[in-house]
Amino acid sequence: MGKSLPSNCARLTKGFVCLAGTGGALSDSDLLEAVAEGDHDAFALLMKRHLASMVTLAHRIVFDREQAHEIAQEAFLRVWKHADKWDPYGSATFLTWLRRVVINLSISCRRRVREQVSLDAIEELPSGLADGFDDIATADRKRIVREALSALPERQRAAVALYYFEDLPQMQAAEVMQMTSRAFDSLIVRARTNLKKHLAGLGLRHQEVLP
Amino acid sequence: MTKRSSAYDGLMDNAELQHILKRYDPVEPPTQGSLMAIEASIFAKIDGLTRNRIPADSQMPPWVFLQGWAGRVAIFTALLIIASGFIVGQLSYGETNVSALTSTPSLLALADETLGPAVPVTDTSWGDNDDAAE
Repeated sequence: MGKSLPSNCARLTKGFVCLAGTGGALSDSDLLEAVAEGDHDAFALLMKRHLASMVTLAHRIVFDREQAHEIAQEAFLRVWKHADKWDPYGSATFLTWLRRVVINLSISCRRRVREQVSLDAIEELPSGLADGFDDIATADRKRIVREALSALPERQRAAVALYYFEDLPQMQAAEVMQMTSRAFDSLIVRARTNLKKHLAGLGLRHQEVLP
Repeated sequence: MTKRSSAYDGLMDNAELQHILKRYDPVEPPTQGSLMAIEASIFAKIDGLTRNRIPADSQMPPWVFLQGWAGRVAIFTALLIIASGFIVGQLSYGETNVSALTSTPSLLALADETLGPAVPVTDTSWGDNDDAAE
């Protein structure tokens, strides 16, 4: 790690501190380099950038908020532990690697638990939605979408999360899931087919929801 | 692959599916409070990791290497060597004794060597002579 410090950062007693405040000009690799030297501030910046999206990604696969928090924690602890082994010139970007870790942890967690999503899960929907018929209908449709997503196998759910919710291009989503673009295509087609079946089976058809 | 491809079964096409998923996304984004709690928890764990890490330049006591699995294996190996040495020692001691018994000259030979050969008593006529003298 003999690379010089990024020019817009100053080394203080504890390590790098970015003069820009948010670290917007620093790449993830720059921050990882600092993290490898034990810099807490650089690590905090990395978390500010990616923690929320990783919690959400995990949540989309495990459908349990507490487990999603634990998964995100574990993923970032791995970042801290293995930052010194990070190869900035490797094939994958940091974000691809981080998403991969979160997805793998989520799938493992999901397989361990194998919980069946019950109606109790609706409690996670905001209670404020239950005001008026429109909000009740929205809450009900969210429940249906949730049940349809929960019925998908783990890998299909991860593919849907990356492709539809994170809006990743197919190539990038395939890279996150460590598969070829062709294999990912096949996976997302199966996921879509299952999802449509489940949504229709649960009573949600596009005529009812589209304006 | 495009997101709007041929419809699967007439229920909805892919764009409509995406619209439904986005509009009725059942996962709420994490709150700022929960993110701060996660960050705090991660930093607490990191501090624990850092405290448990032994600095490379610190003065380590000599028995440090006996801690952990490597130490246990070392102790077990040492005990095994000592035990096998004891057993081998016992066996070879027994062999030495046996060979000592077989190679040591007999007591008679030892007596011959120190006292000279024993004279066989062949003259049994002394009693007769005494009788003759009487």
